[in-house]
Amino acid sequence: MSAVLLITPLMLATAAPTFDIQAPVYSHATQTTAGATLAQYQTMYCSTTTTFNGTQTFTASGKPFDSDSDSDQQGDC
Amino acid sequence: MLLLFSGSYDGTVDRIVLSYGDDVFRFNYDLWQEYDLSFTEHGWIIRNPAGREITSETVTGAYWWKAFAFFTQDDKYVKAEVKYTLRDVYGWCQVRGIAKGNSIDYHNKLGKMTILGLAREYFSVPDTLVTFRKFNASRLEGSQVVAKSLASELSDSKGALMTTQVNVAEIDPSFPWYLQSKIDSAWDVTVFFCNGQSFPFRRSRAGLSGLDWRAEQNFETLVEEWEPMALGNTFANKILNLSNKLGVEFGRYDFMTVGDTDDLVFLEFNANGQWVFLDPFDKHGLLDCVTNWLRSA
Repeated sequence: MSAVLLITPLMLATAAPTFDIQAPVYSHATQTTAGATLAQYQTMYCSTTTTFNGTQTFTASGKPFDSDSDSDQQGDC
Repeated sequence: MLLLFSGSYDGTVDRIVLSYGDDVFRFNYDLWQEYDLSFTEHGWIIRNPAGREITSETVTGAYWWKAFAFFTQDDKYVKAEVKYTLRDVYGWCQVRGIAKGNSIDYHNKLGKMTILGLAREYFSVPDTLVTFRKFNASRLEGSQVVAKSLASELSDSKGALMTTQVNVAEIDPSFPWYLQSKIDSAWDVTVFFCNGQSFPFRRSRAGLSGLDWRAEQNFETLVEEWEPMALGNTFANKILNLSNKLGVEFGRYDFMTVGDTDDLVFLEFNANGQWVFLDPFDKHGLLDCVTNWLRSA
């Protein structure tokens, strides 16, 4: 008789989406992504999305990925 | 001056800075080496490379936005020292009553099950069970059940557990499980709450191939996937009352409709839930609400 393979949460987990783009340049003078304006954000939403090889589970524009994706203690901790 | 803790490529904080105006100081955890910082028993000073400075004398508010979700290449020891320092500066603000929003570790203190128990007073909630060794899991057997993640942590192999239907009889008792009755629903509903105001939005579940909308978002094109909806004063008062019970001024509440009816089932509260994706073009007032709230004493 063959053993029944039980399901584990690790078996159900799927890879988080990743995006491979260049990191935006940050400006300490404006304290935003260099050149960013509200008007730009309002018209170019989702022009940049990234996890930057970290375990961040939301995009730079704030779209969440995983089950609620809003942990504040993820990343490289 | 408002002190914002975040990361350098967070678009949400970009928007807040642009909307808030000049009286703000942004500390990006991932760029910590670029800031001058001094913290003594008398107070602290932080200066950025552009010469902008904030001190324990000039700070009027502090807001933490996912700073530690960003990545640095430092040694584990160094990361821990930097994080400790930032938590301490934030704590300095907290004990003086000038920190806005929810604490960094809100959900470490008040988790999903406790919140679900409190929400029962105001909303319908699904049958839910957190179990070790499948203790009491028999109460869910025979019904359609989904497995979810409590902590939203990735696995060692960088896997994320999305909401997934399981057969309770087939789950391994040697793992912790967070199980919930499956809800057949036409709409995901989420309510952004800030400073006493509720902003309800819904997203059609038509066409979803899986159970979890987060796995099937459009990241590339200019599509408003969520639409504002009206839920009325009675509902808004329930949100307000639950928020008061949870001690929060800010957060996002997730619901689902029951089938294609207007009845809602409460799912969870995200203390520091993302919100820009609901109003990417600033048409519905979320950014203004957050900015005004951060400006308020």
